[in-house]
Amino acid sequence: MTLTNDGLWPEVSFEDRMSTVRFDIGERAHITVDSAVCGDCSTRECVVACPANLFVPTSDGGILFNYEQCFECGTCYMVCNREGAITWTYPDGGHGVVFKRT
Amino acid sequence: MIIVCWRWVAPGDDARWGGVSSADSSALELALRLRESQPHHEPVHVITLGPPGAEQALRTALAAGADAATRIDAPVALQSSVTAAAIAGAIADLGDGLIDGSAGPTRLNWVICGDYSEDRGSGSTPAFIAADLDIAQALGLVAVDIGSVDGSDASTAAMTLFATRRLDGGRRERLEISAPAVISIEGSLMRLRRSSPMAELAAQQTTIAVIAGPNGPVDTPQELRAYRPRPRVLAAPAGDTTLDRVRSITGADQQNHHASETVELEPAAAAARVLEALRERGYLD
Amino acid sequence: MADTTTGTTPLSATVATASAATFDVIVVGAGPAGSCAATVLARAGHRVALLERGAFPGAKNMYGGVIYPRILDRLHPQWWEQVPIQRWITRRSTMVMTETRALTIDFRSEAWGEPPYNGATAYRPDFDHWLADQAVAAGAHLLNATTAVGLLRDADQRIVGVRTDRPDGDLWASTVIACDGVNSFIAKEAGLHEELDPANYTLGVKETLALPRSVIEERFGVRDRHGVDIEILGGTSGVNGGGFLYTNLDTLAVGAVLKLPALAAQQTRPEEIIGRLKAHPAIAPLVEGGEIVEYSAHVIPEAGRSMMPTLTTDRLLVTGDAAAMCLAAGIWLEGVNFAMASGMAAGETVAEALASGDTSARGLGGYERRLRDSFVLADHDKLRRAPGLVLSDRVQHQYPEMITGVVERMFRVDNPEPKPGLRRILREERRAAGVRIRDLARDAWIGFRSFG
Ligand SMILES: Cc1cc2nc3c(=O)[nH]c(=O)nc-3n(C[C@H](O)[C@H](O)[C@H](O)COP(=O)(O)OP(=O)(O)OC[C@H]3O[C@@H](n4cnc5c(N)ncnc54)[C@H](O)[C@@H]3O)c2cc1C
Ligand code: SF4
Ligand code: SF4
Repeated sequence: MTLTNDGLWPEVSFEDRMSTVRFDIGERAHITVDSAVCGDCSTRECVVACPANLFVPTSDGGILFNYEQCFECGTCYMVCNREGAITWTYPDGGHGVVFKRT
Repeated sequence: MIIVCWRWVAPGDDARWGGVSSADSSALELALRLRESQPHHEPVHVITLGPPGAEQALRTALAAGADAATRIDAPVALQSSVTAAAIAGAIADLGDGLIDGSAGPTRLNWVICGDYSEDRGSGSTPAFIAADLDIAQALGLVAVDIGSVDGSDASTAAMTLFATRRLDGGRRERLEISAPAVISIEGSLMRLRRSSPMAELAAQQTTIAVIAGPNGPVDTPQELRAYRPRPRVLAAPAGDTTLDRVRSITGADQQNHHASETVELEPAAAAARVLEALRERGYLD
Repeated sequence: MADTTTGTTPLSATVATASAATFDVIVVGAGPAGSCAATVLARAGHRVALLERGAFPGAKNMYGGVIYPRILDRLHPQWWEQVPIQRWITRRSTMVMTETRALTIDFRSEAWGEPPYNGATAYRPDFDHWLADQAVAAGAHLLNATTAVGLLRDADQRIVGVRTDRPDGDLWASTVIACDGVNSFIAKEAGLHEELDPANYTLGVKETLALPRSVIEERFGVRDRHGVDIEILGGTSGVNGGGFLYTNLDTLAVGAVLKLPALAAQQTRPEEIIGRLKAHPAIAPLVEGGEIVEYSAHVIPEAGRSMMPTLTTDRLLVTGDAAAMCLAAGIWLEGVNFAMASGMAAGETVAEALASGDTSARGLGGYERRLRDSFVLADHDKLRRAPGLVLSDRVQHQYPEMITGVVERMFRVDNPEPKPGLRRILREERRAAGVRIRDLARDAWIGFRSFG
């Protein structure tokens, strides 16, 4: 554990943070993002709001999205206001996030 | 008959936090596909060794299409040889003449295991089962050619499988396996099919056969240590004074062998130069 | 928002075929609402399917951390002897926080540490699992790892069941109870929700931090299985919302609740907001050294009464978070009890309707009546304007400055200056925080009407 943020609190890397969560990853991508639609989006609400940090802006102005480590919370489709950018479903039964001490 | 062996592992024996490995699930799917590839119905029987919590996993197997399931009541942490002996015993008890084939069409054809368990043990249980049953084994299969099963008539059905096995160093080996045999397969081979809601509910109502199993000896978990190469005897450095010996260890006085060298040569000559350089630097004799 | 494609796949009219897959009722979602509904119906002798998309009930569920289970007295007498809890809450603090100041109102009651108790911290994968087990014990048919993907309708467009994502996954029933939580795709498919407004939702993020049991008890001043509940107003890096800190047996739950549009309109990520909350001088000594053992997130329907969908339609009822019944009004963050109560009311109503053979909206009319007669809609009606007030900019940013400023001045000793009068402090701090008297009076009136 390294101290960042002026030593105010012990920080773990985002990967370590996500590695505390169990995901039984399904074969089907339950959320897909149409990067072409995102190209016209300057507000990028999803990037700051997704608690799993799954929306990554690419150098060509699109969005790279990986569905694997998703909390299935719904934040992204609620904050995004471009039609057709996000196709959102639940993972197939039994797959996806498995909480333990929540 | 096809036997599938599942290793169920869950911290605190709580089914929520454990289950069977993807390799074990894969083993059942292979069994079901083998059964379906034949004109007659070859029963698939799933066996696991574990506490009552393991029955939930067996119900999943029944819902997916297994014909029968048995739980051997024993702690999960037994030594693999003991686990294997219990499973082999349970298989032998399923019917007289099952293994030597004298029972006719219901003879034992395949015992299918996952290549690794949820707790990543040694993967040796399948080998012990094969030894105990005194049948052939083919472990660590990465591909199985189901289409090659000769299923033309019930008496000769599913007697031969063609499979690929991973060897050390990334090499592969093609195998022709004749029944009866124990095989273990990798998790990436296939995914276990999902069951219908009604099959799931029916499986929940089924009573699972339980037979008493051994109580020990328990496998003592091995301590994990970083890899350390074996010690080698090194000759003491030459030199009379400390400074000399340090010089000789660090090679400070020798010419730098690691300087790179750029040459422009014909391919054959270049290859010869590479070999020569390797020899000069002591990498080749 | 958002014409993004979401949720269930609507089916064109599917003609019902009676089969083994026929139930009296299908309950979608084995959270607190669904398990209570299924228990009531199974006990009434009905054939109930309880669908849960997680591998087990509770696997998908995350919340702050305190359950108020008194509503279970009727369904599971002596519930406290069985419920898997972490600690009984005997100490409850409300903290108003600015960057450098914090004012805490701290309440303790030993009575809350004895049966029948008041609230308890619990992990949802434990609690929801236990509650669903009770439904199974009552005879409900629990189907885990089964996602409902849409409603089945007959040629007359009547709801006749649910399509699941399993093979041969259609299940038939004369009534469906939607207990599927905040995303509420079943009720959305049935057209019961108004258009989605992200301003009605907050994102909850939390960290579960491991600390030795003795350290927790020392830091929070509790013993045995007693625990502490701290609700925090402010402390969310300027994003409208709130914070919380709860004690479990050997972990702490610390997190933030963040209004979606406010979160999306700035640059600090959710986990950084928790990080800053943890670094606040009033919180840091409590959480210091806690190793993060789980990070989690979930959305809360925050706007209460004003966002509730139509609760009843022909052959369908909506309960719990799916009906936005979560009470999130600053000093309260309760939803599990509302979900359980609405689930029980739905179960009772459907049992009654099945007995009379009428599960149309009229036959199911008892549902809203039951909710109105209970705390579920009574609290929501009374607190109709509270969520808006609590999440308003004034309550979020100006009042904490003002209140903590007033208290600081009251307790600061400025000798040789004499102590200023309270009225002067109030006036000066109100001005310093930029609060207008008119707004203060109006908010006080709304607050008084809501909370008073
Ligand atoms: C950060 C946060 C803090 C909170 N703090 C508290 C608190 O301290 N105290 C409190 O009382 N409440 C709190 N709440 C609110 C509380 O969690 C909810 O109000 C409560 O869980 C609602 O219960 P429910 O049964 O309606 O829905 P849920 O608990 O969401 O259950 C819904 C269930 O349905 C399942 N499901 C969903 N869709 C499908 C489908 N299509 N098919 C099959 N299954 C499906 C889900 O997997 C889930 O199990 C908090 C919420 C959050 C997010
Ligand atoms: S997903 Fe929506 S909010 Fe995110 S970049 Fe694309 S269009 Fe914008
Ligand atoms: S559902 Fe939640 S966690 Fe998953 S991608 Fe959307 S915002 Fe991120």
